[in-house]
Amino acid sequence: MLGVFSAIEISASGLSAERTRMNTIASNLANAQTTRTSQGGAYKRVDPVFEAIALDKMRALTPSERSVSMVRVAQIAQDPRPGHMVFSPGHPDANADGYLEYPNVNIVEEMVNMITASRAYEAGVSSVEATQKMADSALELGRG
Amino acid sequence: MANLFSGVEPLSYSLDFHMERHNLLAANIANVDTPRYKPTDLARIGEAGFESAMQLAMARTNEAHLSTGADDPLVGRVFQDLSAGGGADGNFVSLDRESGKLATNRLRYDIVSVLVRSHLDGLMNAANDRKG
Amino acid sequence: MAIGPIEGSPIPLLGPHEPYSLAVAPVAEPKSDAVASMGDGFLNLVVQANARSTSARHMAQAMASGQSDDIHGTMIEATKAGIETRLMVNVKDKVLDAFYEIWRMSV
Repeated sequence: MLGVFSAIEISASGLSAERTRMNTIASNLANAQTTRTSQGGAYKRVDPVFEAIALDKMRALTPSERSVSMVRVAQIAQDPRPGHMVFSPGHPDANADGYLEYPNVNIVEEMVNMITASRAYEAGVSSVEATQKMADSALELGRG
Repeated sequence: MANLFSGVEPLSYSLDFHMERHNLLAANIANVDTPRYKPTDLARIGEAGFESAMQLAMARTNEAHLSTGADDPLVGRVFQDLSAGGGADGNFVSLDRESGKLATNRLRYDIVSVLVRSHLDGLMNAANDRKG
Repeated sequence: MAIGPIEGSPIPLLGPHEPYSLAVAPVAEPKSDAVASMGDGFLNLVVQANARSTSARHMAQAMASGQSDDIHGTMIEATKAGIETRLMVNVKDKVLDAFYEIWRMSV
């Protein structure tokens, strides 16, 4: 049934997903100038791909439980867009034509994503707090 | 004897409703960045009024005692709320809107909780034949 | 005025895992005799209070074992059980008081 446990489980899935997003943003920002990776070539920015999934129970879901979804990170996808090329013939990572490919990381885009992820995370925290307050109200019913 | 608690039943149904709605809204917030996700909300069954809410509550009370949770009856009608508009990724969640709904819904839950408490306190006083 | 025994079907004993529905067994039709119908009413109250106490206990056990997170439902059921039990005890006291008063009158 849908109660405080399921509500917290749902909110927690959102917090976890947004935290993963923050990690990918941190990786993108840290590697914004990385021209050489173990796969060869410049760093390619990564994005988490979110998907909505059903609640995870050891038993069959009730009809009301089937009406809500948690979120999970389906995969961390690489952004295939090419980075911008800079003519640097002396650079060790430059290609045969003397051009060096930089990572396809756009700092502004990453900052916007970071703010969005941060807001979403805060909203998830507020949801958990609201759930806790509602549980407190319900417990008051049995007091005295 | 069911008459004794007939004043509590609609309030109890209201608590079930708001708790379930809270779950739906929390799910919308968790899925704010999920592509193609459409937020859902809960509407009351039988807007016809007090009597139907009470009948529904009585029916649910009887079922709840017999069930192990497997046949957990719905307290409301789930519908999609697309009024915030969709983004490029097909996601229709507005974080502000859902947060606002969550806050007001939680407040209603707290208020009804207090009402239930005071109602049951009144019944206990009556059972004890006190004037309080 | 002669007072006869309270007649009606016996109160079904509740086992630890019997569902609520079994407990609400119908008592015999109230007779026109005022005492008998009062007795039936009281029996109904006892059956009800017993049933709800069991139901409340089951719900509390489900909460404690983590199967249920229906906090308000469990709290309301427990409070209702307390009210019905309190009412039953007080009605019983009043019935006994009335009985003894009549008893003393006839002695």
